[in-house]
Amino acid sequence: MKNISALLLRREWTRYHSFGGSWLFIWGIYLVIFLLTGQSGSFFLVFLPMIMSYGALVTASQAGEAVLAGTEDFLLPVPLRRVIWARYQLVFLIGLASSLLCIIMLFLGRLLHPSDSFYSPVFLFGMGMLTAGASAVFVGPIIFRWEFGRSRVLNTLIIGLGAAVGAGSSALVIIASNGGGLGMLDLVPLLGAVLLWALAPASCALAEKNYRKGGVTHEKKPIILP
Amino acid sequence: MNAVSIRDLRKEYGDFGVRVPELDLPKGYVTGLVGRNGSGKTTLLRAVLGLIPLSAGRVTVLGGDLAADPELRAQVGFVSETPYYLPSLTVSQVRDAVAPFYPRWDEELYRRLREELELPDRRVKELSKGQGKILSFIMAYATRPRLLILDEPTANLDPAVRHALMGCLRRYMEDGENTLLFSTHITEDLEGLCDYLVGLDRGRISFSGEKDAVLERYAIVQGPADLLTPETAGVFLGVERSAVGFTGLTADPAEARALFGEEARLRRPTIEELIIYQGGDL
Repeated sequence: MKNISALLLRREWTRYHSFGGSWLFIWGIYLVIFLLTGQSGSFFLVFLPMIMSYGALVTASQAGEAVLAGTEDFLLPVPLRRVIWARYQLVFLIGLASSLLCIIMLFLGRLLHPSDSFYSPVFLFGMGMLTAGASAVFVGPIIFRWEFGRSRVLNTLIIGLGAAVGAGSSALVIIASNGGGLGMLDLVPLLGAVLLWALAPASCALAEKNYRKGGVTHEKKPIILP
Repeated sequence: MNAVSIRDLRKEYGDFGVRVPELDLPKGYVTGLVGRNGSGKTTLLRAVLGLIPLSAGRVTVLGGDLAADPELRAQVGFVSETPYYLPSLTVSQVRDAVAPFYPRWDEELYRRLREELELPDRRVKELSKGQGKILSFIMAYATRPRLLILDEPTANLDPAVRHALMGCLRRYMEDGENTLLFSTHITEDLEGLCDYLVGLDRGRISFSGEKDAVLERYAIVQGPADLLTPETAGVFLGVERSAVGFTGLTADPAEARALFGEEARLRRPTIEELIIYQGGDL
């Protein structure tokens, strides 16, 4: 048998790729809005890595009916920790790809809107990885414990907070824009991202420990006859 | 040796739940799990697979703990009522995502079954209910499991596909080492295939044992309406009355014979009648 980690990552990519059309659509919309509006639309740029990595985590974990969520993961003849960790890895890679794309779009945006003040690419990359990390580290244990249906309120809260962080950070960048130079402020999100991603193994362990322990809607309102 | 052993299992849902004090499913045989809708069959199957946390008790599968032993999971196949694969995956992608993890995966069998059962390479969410069931079955069967657990395997299948699927299950059992556990409402499938029967009623085991022995334990009693009085009705687990007579299921054929004498007709129930009448009066 081939390397299990590689197989698991390939499996995650196959799964993500299968619903990628919808997410590509979101990529397109967000990036076009940014390019049209320039710096005033920077929220869309900052928020992109979070929504993309959130999709990688949540959509891939929600297979078929709620009652069956996680069944394929659980029955795979591989330690559950490794299955979950592969999904965290995918979230990291999607976050990374989104953040790098954001930087490319940043330079493209500058060509279209030369009069706008320039975002710091380091700041932008740090924010991207920070928000992607928040998706994995905070949403991971919740989604694996309760599946999407029962954890939607918490998830919505977290994604809302992510939006607020994204909006806040883009406003901050506009205020603190230094014309492309590297300041201390630019490094803060990057350091935050490093710290957050360092917590990913602990988050993964928590997700495994609580896997499906919260039950699903069907189990809370069973059809067992009285 | 037992393929599945259950001890003091409890899965509580508030006031309701599934309770199985003791149940052993012998290795190398077919066990049919029967009961009415909502009797707890799927919950019991999911408990055996370790897919739901138990309130109490212990389940041993193929001598070990499925949740703790990934290698053991490679020997167990599960066919659920609806596919549990990501809906956006195509049939081929499901294979790509799952097959490499199973050391006993039989690619030739997979291809042959897909062709025989005419499963198109569509996305899971675009498959009909029957095709979804076929996909689940093929994916589980091609891993060549030692224990195959099926939840309503023949529901929503057309007669030809159902026949082919039952043929697969018969061939699967020819090995002598394999074990089959399946729940179904189509009792015709059980009559011809299963060796053991387990009945569930409102979350409790109502009967279990060798199929013929279980059926011999009960009797269907049919007689004229005037024989059925409040006193004689007590012998039945469930009874159906009509203007001219009654049909009931009893767990005590000798007492029923003594009560009704030659005026009533006693016969061995079918599995379907066991399910219909064990839940109470109709």
